[in-house]
Amino acid sequence: MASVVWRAAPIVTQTVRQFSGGRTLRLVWALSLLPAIFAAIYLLRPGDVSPTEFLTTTYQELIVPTLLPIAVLLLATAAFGNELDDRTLLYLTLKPVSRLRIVLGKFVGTLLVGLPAVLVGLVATALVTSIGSGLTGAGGDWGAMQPVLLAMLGSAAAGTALIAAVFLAVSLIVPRALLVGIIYIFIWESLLGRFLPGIRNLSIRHYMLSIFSGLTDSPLAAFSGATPLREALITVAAVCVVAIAVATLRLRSMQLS
Amino acid sequence: MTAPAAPRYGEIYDRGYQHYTGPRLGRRHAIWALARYSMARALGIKKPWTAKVIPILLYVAVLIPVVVGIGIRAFLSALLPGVNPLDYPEFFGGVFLIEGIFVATIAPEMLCPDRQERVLPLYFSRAITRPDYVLAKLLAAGILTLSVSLVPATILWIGRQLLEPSPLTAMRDHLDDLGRIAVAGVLIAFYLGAVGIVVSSFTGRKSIAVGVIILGFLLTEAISGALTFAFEENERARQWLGFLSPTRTTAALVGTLWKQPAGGIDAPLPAIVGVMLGVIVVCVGVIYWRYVPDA
Repeated sequence: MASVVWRAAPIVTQTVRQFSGGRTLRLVWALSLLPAIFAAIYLLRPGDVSPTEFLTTTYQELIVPTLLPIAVLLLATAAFGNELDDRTLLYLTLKPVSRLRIVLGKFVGTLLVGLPAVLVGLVATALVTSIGSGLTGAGGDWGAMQPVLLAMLGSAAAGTALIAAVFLAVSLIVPRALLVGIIYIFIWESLLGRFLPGIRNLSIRHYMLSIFSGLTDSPLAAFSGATPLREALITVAAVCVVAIAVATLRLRSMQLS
Repeated sequence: MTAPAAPRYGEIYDRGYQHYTGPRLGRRHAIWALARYSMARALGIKKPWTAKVIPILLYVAVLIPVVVGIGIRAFLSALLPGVNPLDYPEFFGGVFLIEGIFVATIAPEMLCPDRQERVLPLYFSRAITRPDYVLAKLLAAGILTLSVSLVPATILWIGRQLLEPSPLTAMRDHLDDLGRIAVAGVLIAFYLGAVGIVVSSFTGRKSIAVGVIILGFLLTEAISGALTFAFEENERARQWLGFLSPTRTTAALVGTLWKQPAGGIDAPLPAIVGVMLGVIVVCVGVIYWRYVPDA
């Protein structure tokens, strides 16, 4: 079975193996499960905030601008970054595999490793919030929470793909891609994206929140200036294609020896 | 008369190991050389331009508020008397995030490659001992972090005094501010630098070290905030939980120094300084334990 998968998608398998059991993946899981800890702290003193409100605010203010981008960034920049550090990218390019397939393999491998962590983290946060609220007698709210959670999962998946594609390309162009990504997330996405409307439309955060609000009818998810769902999805797909094309071109031209 | 000796054929020369006869500069020089090399490596000196971009960007980012603050004071103070743009606590609060990212940039660059490229045994087989290595790295991280905490604040202080009608008198009158800047700048630099070095000492991969520093920062900030909110009624617990967050600890230090309480921590100055020194001592202890296993 393993050899069949290996033959069909060697780079994907290699990427998944590269991450499985490693410290990067542990960090990604820690970042993804962090909101569940906040959910537990929220249960200590829920006040008049409903569980769905808490989940939505945590998603909009903590997960989308900071935690999810950093978690995916760690994987996306390490997929090629580790090969560059260890000087093994050369051997990968010597194999009879096209550069496009190498990039696509790394992209799919990153998603296969990153998506479960991101999505399980979200579900765990929702479960802790809902079950905990039910146990403490505040009303679990699970019925109302489900459509919101599904919309979050959809938007998080789109965001994961977008960040993975963009930073795979960046990691082939800039040596310290992780730091560039972190500066981008903290300064552009978290700080400037909140205050400057012009920048907002050019941030990953905006498209994730637009997809989130497009996938649910909940008024909690709605915000002014949201891009319609179809346009947001097309933009995400287009940026992914462009980023993969840039990464492929860069991998063709870069000096590896 | 004797015939001149025929040139000997097949003579063996002693070309074996020669002792070093040059000047011996001592351990202190070795430590300083390693610290200097570590700083150059972290800043990307003698490396391609791509390695210099991030440190340069961070220096620019930390100097922009200084230039803007002095500029506004120079041009607008006549138009808007009483306006006090960019006070020192505001400055330290504003550049804290940049200082954090700066430490996440330099600390892994100083330690991780030595581990990954397995050159530590080479270092330790020469004049440098393990404690020397630790000292050099801490020194390098501290000095570089001082360049983003102490230096810009001092430039701000000098700029403000030069805008006064009588700069020399203003400098004399505001020496207390300079003292506070020195205390805050040095403490923040070594507090952040020591934490960055400790995290980086656990891994050979720079990306992991950067990730752990950022995760630790987010985790302590968020948990401190959430627990403070959860224990709102318990004043004592709230105070101590505030110290979990580096942002609020440094905000409290700067706020208390300039008598503008901030960060939600209402503790006396010695307590805040004590907590920060305690963190530095623990970090130094951990890194010493990492590199000097037999001690």
